[in-house]
Amino acid sequence: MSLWIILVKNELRIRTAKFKSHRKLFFITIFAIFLFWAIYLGPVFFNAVFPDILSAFSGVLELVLHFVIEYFLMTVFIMFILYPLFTLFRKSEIGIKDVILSSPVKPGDIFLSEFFSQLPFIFLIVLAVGPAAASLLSQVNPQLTIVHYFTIYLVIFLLMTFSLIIGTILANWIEFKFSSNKRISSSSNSFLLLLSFIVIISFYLFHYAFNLAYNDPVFKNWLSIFPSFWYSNIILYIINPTLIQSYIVNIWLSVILAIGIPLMVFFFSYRKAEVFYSYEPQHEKNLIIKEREGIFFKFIEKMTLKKYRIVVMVQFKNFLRKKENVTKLIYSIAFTGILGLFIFLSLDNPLTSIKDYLVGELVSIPVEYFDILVMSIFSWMGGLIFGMMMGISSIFDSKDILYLYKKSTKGVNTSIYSFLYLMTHLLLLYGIALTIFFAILFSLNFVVVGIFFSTYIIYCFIIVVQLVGLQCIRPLYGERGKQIYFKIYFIGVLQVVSLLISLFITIPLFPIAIDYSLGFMYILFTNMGISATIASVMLLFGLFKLNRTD
Amino acid sequence: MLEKLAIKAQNLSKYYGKLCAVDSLNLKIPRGQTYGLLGPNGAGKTTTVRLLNSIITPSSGDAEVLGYNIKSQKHQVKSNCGFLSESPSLYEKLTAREFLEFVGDLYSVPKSLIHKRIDEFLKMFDLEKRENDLLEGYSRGMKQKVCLSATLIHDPKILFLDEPTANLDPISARIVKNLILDLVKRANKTVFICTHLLDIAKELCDVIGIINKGVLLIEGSPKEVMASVNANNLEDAYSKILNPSPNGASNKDYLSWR
Repeated sequence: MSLWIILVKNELRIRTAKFKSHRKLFFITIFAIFLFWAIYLGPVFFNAVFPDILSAFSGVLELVLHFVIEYFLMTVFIMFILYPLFTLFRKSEIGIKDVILSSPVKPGDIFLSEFFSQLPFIFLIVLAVGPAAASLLSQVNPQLTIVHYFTIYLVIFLLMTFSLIIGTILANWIEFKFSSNKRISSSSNSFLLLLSFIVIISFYLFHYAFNLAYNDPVFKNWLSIFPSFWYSNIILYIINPTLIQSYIVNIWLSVILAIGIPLMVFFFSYRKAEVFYSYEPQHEKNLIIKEREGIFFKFIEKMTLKKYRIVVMVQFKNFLRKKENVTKLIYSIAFTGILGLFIFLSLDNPLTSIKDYLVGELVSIPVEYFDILVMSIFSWMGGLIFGMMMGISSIFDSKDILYLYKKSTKGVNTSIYSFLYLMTHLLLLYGIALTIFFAILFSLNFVVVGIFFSTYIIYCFIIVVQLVGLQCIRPLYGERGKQIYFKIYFIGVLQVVSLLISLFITIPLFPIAIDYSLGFMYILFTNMGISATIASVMLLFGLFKLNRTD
Repeated sequence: MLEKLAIKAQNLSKYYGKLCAVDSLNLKIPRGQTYGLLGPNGAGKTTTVRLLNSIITPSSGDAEVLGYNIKSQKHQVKSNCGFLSESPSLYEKLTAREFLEFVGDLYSVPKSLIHKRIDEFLKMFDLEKRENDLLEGYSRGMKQKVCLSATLIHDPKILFLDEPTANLDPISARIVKNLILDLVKRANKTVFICTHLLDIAKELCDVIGIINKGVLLIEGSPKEVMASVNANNLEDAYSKILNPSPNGASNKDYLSWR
């Protein structure tokens, strides 16, 4: 048996440790449920719901469908490429176990195992969300059969798989360069900053290019060489073959490229993994503590209450000396900052002068407080990005660290409070910088600046508290991936739930003639209250559980 | 391979940035011998073992393990070596049996043989009743036993054991020591031990080397090492070699911190 298959089996065993006595039954049950949903329940449900919703847009869906599909698949493709880059350095920080390093496993084996062990879970995601997409398409073409449904699921699955492997190669290559090139390694933070800007700008550029292509058929034809279009072409062909008639990449070429290129990439990445993949333990980074840290840490020390000073400083140093955390911090700053920049560039006038704003070509929404609205939405999105990135930083590197706090007179709660304290420090520093940037960029007035700063800080903190609460319930102990994905998905679902609750609470209470922007803000602030309540409950329950962890 | 030397290292060095972890190490260890590498914390023992197991690449110099080059024949080196790490990191969410099956698979040991060996190890280390518990529930000593079993599961020709008796109770430590003695005498294995425990080195090792700051200071049988510094026992010899000043460890004020 190939070594990578053994490693994949092991990864799956670890991920299903809770069901160790009934692993086969577990897999059969899970896949049976998801398949039932994907084949029968999901389509029946969505086919019952969609016609009523879509009747409001009768005639519009057919016109925008190809645009929606291409845009959606391109976004998924880019997101899955970028995802491994967000977790850059996590592997080298945690390291691969000696038991694997000393075995005859090759870099290609570990590389493939890391990738393939994610596939069953990606497949489950596709089965979960696929019926919604396929049912939407069946509103345009009612002739779609179960075979078509499965082809659509398979296409989405292939697209995700292909983009994930590209992302994994890119992330590993960057880590490899960082570890093997002394010049890059010595100025790693500057390179990381540069890299994050390149990644994020390219993300927005793709979207910009797509918008351009929408109005330019020649450019659109050339853009169809981009991989996500191979997959969207197949789906479009299933709905209506004429939709891709004018493209350079026809259906046959799309199918060949969509299957052939990923297979080639798999094969060459396995055979030539040592070119871009290193699994040698990296110790260099731990040996030099930069002198310039001193000034920064002294400043933070002075800003911290005496009671928590030592613990907060220890956590702060431990946090910032992990390259993985620095990467995440830079990403969250860059992502929010560049998002603002792109919104600014896509507007004709600064925010304060806009009184009417057009959403798409179909609906016109008059807005009186547009600047406050945009900044409030910004603070929510920025808060989500920062909170998700920072909240998954492991508070306890190992069980020993947890016990270290437990056996101390200060107790384990101190570790959590000090972690939140350090997050507050980070947030204040980062929030001030971001607010100044946006204030200058959008020429914001003092009130809007105040609203953005406070809502942004509060949102970030709420998400961090929710994730810290989850970590208290089940600490990460600096382990690899697995639990992190669950926690991120869980927090994502929580945001949707709290938004839905706030919609159900706020909409019935709206005054009839309320301004749109005030209405939006009303929803946002209600959502903030609900999220804060959930966060408090999660933290309290988490602390209760943590104090009882053996 | 008819190479008589199990391990041959020539000017083997490893740098981490500016820090030299191993400095021009030269070793010649014949087959069927037990070699003990002694030294204080951070002396370069673990780095040496990792180099010889092809886990990390040397900054300069070269080495052969069973005649296989550690840089160009990593696969052969790894296939023939068993490595017990100083701080064994196990997959906590696996049971002992699952973990050992996994390691056996990694070395392509036939399934039937894996199961047979696992049964024997679990019996030898008295872990039979806990074999289906997750490793996260094991004590450190029990984890050490599982790691030892994992090191031996593919019956390697050379064993690199970093603190093999760490965390073990006296009876288990005795079992491990007897096991090492048997592996050398009856199975003609080569054993490379890194340890701080001088009594283990004296009892098990044919040759010992003392390393400090990456430099191999002395090498020879325990008796030769003691004789070289006119010491009565290995502890004395170790102290004298590592701390040659007459105002060394014995004159320190150990309560100055109060």
